[in-house]
Amino acid sequence: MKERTVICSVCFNIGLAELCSICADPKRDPSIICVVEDPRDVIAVEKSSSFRGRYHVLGGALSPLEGIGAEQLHVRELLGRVERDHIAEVIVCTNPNLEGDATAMYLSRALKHTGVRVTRIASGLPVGADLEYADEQTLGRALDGRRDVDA
Amino acid sequence: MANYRDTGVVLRTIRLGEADRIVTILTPEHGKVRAVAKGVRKVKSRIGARLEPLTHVDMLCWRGRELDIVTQVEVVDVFRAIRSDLARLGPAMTMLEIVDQVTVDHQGSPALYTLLVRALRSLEATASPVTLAAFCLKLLMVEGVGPSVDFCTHCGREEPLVAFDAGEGGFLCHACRRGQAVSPEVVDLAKRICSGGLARALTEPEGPTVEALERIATSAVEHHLDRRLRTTRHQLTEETTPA
Ligand SMILES: [Zn+2]
Ligand SMILES: [Zn+2]
Repeated sequence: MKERTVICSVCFNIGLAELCSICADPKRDPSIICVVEDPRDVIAVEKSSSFRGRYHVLGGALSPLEGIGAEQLHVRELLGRVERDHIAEVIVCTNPNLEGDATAMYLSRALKHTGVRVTRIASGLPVGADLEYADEQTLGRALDGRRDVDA
Repeated sequence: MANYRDTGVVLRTIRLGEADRIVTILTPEHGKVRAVAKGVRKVKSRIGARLEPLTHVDMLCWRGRELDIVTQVEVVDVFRAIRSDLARLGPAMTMLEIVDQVTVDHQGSPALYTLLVRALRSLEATASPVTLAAFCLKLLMVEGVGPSVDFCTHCGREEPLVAFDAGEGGFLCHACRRGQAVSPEVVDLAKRICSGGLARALTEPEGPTVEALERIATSAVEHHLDRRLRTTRHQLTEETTPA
């Protein structure tokens, strides 16, 4: 029988309980959040073994042409987490394309008042590619080489 | 004649299957083209980056029965300054949406293409807050439904213009007024844009006049399209409250 999956109430990743296995793991660094568009991107970043923090799944990227604004994504919840949970760094790991970059700029601006460090994965990933197709090494290098985002 | 070459601006892309995208491109010679870009979502793809929305490209296509196939792409301009500034990216996205909505496949004029490229280059160079309003008014002119700025749309008299109505298709005098009331400054800015004073109009600073003209210009475009625009000027700069 297939186990029932639920959406994590904290990070919106897919899991088997109200808290996903990553949010429930005390060995994961709670002060760093990796922001991704989709639960599949969590799997991609996990495979790279380069990240020991926690996640936040936006449920997409800002896409004016598709009518997707911040209110259609889990942006408010991210702001809430950063303000509440003493987050030191937010790594924006959205796809390296127009929408992903716009999302990174938007988050950097929205988080500015909190003083949290906002970084973007390095451009080792070619523009237009989907994160979920990146091999572990490429994604790992992109995470290691992340840079601050200007708001 | 199965292969063709053209320049174009990428308006939008949608995912197709596992790793492909359908790319919508406005060209001067072939109108609005929809073409498949194969494998562009794979990390090893060399043409993926070149077929993002808001990219000016030179391309080679293979004509297919339903959709064409992009075989080669060279980048002419990526509009880097627009992409790295949310205040410019919003208006640029709105321009792409309008152009996509105003054309059907294989249609579109060289004039429309030229208008889009010029507006994007202008936005890239100056960040003028007037760009979107000017683009909308010029687009309506290209479409043959430009608003009259010198006389009342309804009675045709050269009275002072005090209102704008998208349904009437232009500015109205005091006697005929309906729709949105407008200040003399707004009418003057529209006049400059529509009759050869664009360069000077683009130096107008951000403020209520520019915002009012942008509102009526986008509403006139929406009336022409018979559809609300999805993109809005402030979509990318709106604040979000924490939850
Ligand atoms: Zn979780
Ligand atoms: Zn009149």
